[in-house]
Amino acid sequence: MEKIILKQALPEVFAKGEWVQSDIWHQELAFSRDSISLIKASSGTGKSSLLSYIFGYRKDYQGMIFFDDTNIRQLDLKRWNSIRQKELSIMFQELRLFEELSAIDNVLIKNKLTHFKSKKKIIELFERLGIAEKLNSPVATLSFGQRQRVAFIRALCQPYQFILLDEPISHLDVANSKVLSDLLFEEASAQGAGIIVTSLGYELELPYSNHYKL
Amino acid sequence: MVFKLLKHKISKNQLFGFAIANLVGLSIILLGVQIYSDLNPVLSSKDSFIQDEYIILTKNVSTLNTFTGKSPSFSKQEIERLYDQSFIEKVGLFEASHFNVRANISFVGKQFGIATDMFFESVPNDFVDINPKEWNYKAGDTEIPIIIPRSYLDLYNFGFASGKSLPKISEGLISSILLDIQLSGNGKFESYKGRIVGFSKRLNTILVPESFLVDANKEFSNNTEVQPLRVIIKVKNSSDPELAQFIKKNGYMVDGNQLDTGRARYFLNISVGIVLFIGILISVLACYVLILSIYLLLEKNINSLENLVLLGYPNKAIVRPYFCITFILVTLTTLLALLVTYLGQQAYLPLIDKVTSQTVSKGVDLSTWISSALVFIAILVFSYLVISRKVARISAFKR
Repeated sequence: MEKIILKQALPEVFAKGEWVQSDIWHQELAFSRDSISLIKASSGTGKSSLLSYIFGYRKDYQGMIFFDDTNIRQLDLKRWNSIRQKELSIMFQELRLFEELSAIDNVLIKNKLTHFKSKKKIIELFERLGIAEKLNSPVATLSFGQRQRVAFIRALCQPYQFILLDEPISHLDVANSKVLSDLLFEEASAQGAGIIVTSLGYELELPYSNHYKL
Repeated sequence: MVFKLLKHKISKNQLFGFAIANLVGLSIILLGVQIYSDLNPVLSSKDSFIQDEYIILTKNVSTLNTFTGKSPSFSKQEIERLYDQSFIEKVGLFEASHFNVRANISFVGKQFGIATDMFFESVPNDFVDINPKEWNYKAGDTEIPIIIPRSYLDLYNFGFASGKSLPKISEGLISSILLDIQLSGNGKFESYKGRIVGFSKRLNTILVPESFLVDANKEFSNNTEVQPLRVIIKVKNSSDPELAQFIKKNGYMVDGNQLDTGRARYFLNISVGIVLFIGILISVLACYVLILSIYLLLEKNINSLENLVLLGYPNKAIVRPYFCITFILVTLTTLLALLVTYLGQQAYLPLIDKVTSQTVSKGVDLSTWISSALVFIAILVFSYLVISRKVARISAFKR
């Protein structure tokens, strides 16, 4: 997957309401693998909707979204499974961690599927992000900031051509945000992957090639 | 790992409820099948004291018949109607002798003897339950083979002879005695020798070969068109309720209690049917409980399952742990139900043994094994379909 292309995409709920000026909705644009994009938005402008359309679990939009030449509405479940394992990684705004499982198991349950990182490497990531002592704690007992870091590590445990991050540092302090952005840049560069980050205001420090306002 | 995640929300009580319900349902089904296969041979066996596939029909002799002289015979139409019934396989007509028969037995060089008037009847050969090698007659033979009811011999041996301190007579001894038989009628007279060649349990009459009687009737009687008074039929299944109804409707009488085992088997069929129905009903309800529990489980886990799908887990991997639980439960309950069936059988077999000399099989019958395998597979296939359908809906994010 080299490009993610949006053609006149617009959430259905916006189609009836009054028109909002946007760099993304109802436009033609492409995210390419060699770019780092920041999507700035205020609440309720459909930032998480955009990522859920691209990740294929919501389809309530008009217009079209393409992975290279393929309209993603035509992908079947099998193809989506493979895309979610090998081509596209995501860190959800709502994180979508398993509260019953420990922090490390939340990461391993993904890595079991992809066999992308060694357990040792994963523990190193926990250490770098300062949550090594929470390794075996159930996620239910972690703070949101700690959970954000677990979800981030999980997003790194697979091959990808694009990585999508929905407000990844909303609950992190400056120091931790710096560690996270460094890590993200390292990992994505190593894979030659494109990065798409959304932010409400306080943004991740990265050498962005594109800024969009939603 | 997936199992570790999903097992958190499994309700042990629901699964236990399913297991108990399914065990009860399966046990009832299997026990029903087992009882049926144990009892059926006892009631339908060829060695049974009543050969119930053959039934002898007569018409009621009423006082009116006695006075009017109207014979209680079967008309041509009635016989044709017998042939038309689907539950009747074969129809045999009793032919009676229409001439005088006198039999003498002489002992000690004809110095001392007894004589009696008697009669003959015949039925087609394939209705006779025994087939001694002397049982044939060709025109011109002077010796007639005769079959008498076994009960006559028993009557003499166990009734008359023991009361009068007379010697008991064996079959072999009787067969060695030659009777002098005189036939007369139509102005003719002829002497034959008669020999008793066998004893019938089925036919309560003095039988001679049909070929002989047909010839003799032509010879000694001019009354050729005589309607039979008794009819023997071979039925496919004496427990057929249509048969009993037919006999009742036409006012026929059944010789002996041949219909009774048929009736017993009919009631066995009904009660086994009811038992199976209840068992199947309970099993279906148990399946319903299982499906409901699994549905609830899937619903409770719906967020986790959606997250698994978003991580890239294929449906198969999500179905697997749920199907495993079902498989284990169904296997356990099926095995337990087989054990219950075996124990139940051990409990009731002595009761059957008391009333029959027949050996009833001691182990679980093949039909029970087959039924349990069928039910086992049916439950598994059904639950697999239900689970995978539900998971497919979840993975398509159609709530």
